[in-house]
Amino acid sequence: MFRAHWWAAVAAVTRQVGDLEVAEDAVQDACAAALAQWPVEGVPASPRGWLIGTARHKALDRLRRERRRADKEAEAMREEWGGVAGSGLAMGRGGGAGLAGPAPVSATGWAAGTDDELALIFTCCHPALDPAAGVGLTLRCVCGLATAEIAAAFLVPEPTMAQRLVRAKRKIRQAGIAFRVPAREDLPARLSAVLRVVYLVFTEGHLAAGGDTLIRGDLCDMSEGPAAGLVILDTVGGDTRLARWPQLHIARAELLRRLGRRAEAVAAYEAAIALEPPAPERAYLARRMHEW
Amino acid sequence: MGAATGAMARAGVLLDCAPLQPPAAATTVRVRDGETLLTDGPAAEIKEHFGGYTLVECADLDEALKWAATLPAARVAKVEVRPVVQVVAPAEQPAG
Repeated sequence: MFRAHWWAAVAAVTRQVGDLEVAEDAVQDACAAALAQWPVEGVPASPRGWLIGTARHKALDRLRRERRRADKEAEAMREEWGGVAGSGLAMGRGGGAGLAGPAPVSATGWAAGTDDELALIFTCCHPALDPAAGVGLTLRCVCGLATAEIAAAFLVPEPTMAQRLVRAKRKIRQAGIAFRVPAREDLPARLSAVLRVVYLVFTEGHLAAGGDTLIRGDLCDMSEGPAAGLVILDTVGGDTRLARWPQLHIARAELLRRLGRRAEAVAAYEAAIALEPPAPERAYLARRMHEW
Repeated sequence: MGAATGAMARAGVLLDCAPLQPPAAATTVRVRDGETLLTDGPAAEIKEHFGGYTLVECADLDEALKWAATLPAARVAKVEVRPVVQVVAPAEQPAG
């Protein structure tokens, strides 16, 4: 029940508080609170709104606490540095700020804040992140999988995966990766990074299922992989600005094929062809469409 | 000033930039137990060396990466992009 709201909640809170790690922890806490509260007090009229509001409150609370701690640390640092602090130090407004505040509206970009969910996936799939870490982060922040489930999919111990996710989130903050949909001219490159991650999400789903069949046949569930990839693609592709990239439809078609949803797959192939990809690709798609 | 840094300056993002003398010119300073120790050569014992720096003020990583890709060093060597940590100088702090 929470998984349906997870993506939207993490995205909204990340934009509101400007920190993915804090936002994700807060949404987790809000879900825990909901588990305790809803059975007693009833499910609120807007579960998503409740989760976002509660998570936002918890996130801001934590940031206030951390700021107090940071102030104390800065004070200690100033004492240590004495009078020289600042004299030889260059300052940049991007420095260390990470996802500072709401993303600005750039001249070439789109208005920020209208596309939190898209922004979240572009952040998780940023090419500056290690692709494997990007996959884990997407499974966590977008698909709402637990760290233990992601660790199982990658066949690594849970603490290893937890560490990898923490490192990726820290890189986002420290490197100053922005929380926004990229500018139009950057879309082709950035979209291919997203598609690569979606593809890996899908294959990881398969690998996990494959690994499970070897070890525990009862847990094998092949449908998780393509279905998870499809959920992401449908959200990304639902945006009219992105829907005109043939690659998106090709990826959808291939996932639908794996799921055995033939009519929908054919429609996706047709949508890709209609967008006029290069001739060899078009010929391949026309052929692939009839291969069953 | 090269073409790339010239463009950075015109865009108003360039704060500072300079190439460095070769690593052979480096002296490494360490202070241990109050004693200053000098060593000939660079601090990092690796094949690559730090050739210079370019300090730009950008809104986010994407903007900085784009500028980094315009530097000639990116074509013949590598450019590492890392944000500066904002350290608030004592003078900027409100009194008390």
